[in-house]
Amino acid sequence: MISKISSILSPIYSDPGIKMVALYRIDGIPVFLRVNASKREIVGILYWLEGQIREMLHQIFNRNLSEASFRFGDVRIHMYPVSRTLVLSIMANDEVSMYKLEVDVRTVKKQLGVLVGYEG
Amino acid sequence: MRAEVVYSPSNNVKEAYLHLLNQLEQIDFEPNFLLLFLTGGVWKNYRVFTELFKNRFPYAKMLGCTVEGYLVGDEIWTRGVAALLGDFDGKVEVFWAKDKTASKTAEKLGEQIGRGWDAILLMFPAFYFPRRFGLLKAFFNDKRYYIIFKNKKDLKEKEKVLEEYSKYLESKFIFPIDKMLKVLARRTNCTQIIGMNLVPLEAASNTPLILANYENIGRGAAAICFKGRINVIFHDVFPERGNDYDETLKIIEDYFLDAEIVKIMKKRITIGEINGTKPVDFLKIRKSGFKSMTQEDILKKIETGKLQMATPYVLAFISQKTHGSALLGLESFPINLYPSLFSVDEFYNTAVFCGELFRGGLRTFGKIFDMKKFNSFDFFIIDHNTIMSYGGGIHKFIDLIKEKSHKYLGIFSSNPSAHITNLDKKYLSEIDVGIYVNSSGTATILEFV
Repeated sequence: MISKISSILSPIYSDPGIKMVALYRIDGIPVFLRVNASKREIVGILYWLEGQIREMLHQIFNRNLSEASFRFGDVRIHMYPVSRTLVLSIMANDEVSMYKLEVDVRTVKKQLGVLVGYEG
Repeated sequence: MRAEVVYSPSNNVKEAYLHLLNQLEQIDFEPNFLLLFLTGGVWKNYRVFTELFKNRFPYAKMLGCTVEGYLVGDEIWTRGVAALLGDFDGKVEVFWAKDKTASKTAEKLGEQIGRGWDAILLMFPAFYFPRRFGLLKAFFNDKRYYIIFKNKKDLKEKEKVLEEYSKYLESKFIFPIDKMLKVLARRTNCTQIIGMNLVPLEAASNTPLILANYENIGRGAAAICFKGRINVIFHDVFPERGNDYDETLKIIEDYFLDAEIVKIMKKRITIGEINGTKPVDFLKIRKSGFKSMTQEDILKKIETGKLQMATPYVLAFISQKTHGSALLGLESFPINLYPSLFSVDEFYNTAVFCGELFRGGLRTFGKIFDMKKFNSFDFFIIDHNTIMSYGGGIHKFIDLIKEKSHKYLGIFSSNPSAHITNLDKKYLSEIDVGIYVNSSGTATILEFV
């Protein structure tokens, strides 16, 4: 399962502008995490994310949000619900085109949805 | 026609290579042509992919270029690489040419192609982005010609300066879209020509990349020509044009946002003034929140491949010949004389400054699939501005396509242009008889029967 998730997400994390790709369970536990940056660069943001993730996931699911975004300096974090219990989180730097990332994330979400048997 | 699509959405070149290699092992026919499309994340490593395909299919006629994204099956990707392998039931050939000016290149290419083809897919850089030094020279020449232009009092003399500057632009950067189509139509007598007039959404030095028979042709033009069972469809999303200037003007004013009629001083492919001021100054006055770019910004962005070429502000020109209209995007580049990607001589001296938009959503683009005549393999090109306009919403295309087509490859690329005779709709983009050009809102399909 993890290798299939990794394979589906690899087009996203193969982009050097993507700092992190994570798939979170609704309780905030990451089921998949891939980091493309140094620990020093990313640890503060991950620490913050860990403290906020449950509340954010709660907001995403209860308010039926299609996406939630945050910005930390030149880094952006985007969260996209994949199923009723999974959220895809992507950390990207400023050089990544948001329009294009959105297009690719839709494809990835569809593929993850099929993998976990969620028809959206 | 037998056709297969191989692709990899990975920007990791090694990974993409292996993906393609695996898929190529499953191909059990010998294609006689190959279309290769590279996205922004992999195009610099184009040799890896051309070598792979060349080793596997050395005799296939090959044409390729950079694109913004592609659609295959249920997937749309803006990263990685995609290729169409086709065994066309007829004759297929790739030609390319490169000369000092756009006109000479077009003439040379047309001569090579000759007559007797049923359809031609033409690739050329509508704007070719050179390296840093080339751009610095362009900025210098813009200033030089502008000073001469400004000091001329007589209109004819001013136009002469714009004409000279246009010649310079045509020798270094711009292939005027309409001119390319007209020359090729005259030379080849082909009634179905699709123009891929490439301008990247995010420009980088030495882009757009065009490949012909596995070679990078630089600032040249290339074409793949088909003789056999192929049908070409062109569509634009705008309302039909009017029968005269006033009718078309009214249509444009009703369709686009904040329409304002402006007076244009123009010649060949250069805009000298809008309402008596420099085009970029005019834009800044009208849209005060629009951020100005400096030369250094441009140079930095082009080196990192992040110079945004899309803009919501346009000049809608109205053709004196057909009363059709073509849009020219206005961006706050640090330039004095504004270049056009199509010849502006045959348009009225008044144009409409307005905000670009697509009314009716993606369905208006999807109408092109209703025009299909055959149950065939479809290769289609959709205006890449849809990515900027709809973002992830472009996935709705998949449902629209699947209603009408069972096997396809779509690409998101610069708004395709066309030379097609006898279309039964009065498309707004028809700016000359049988010549369809616009800077957004166009789409095309090649049906391989």
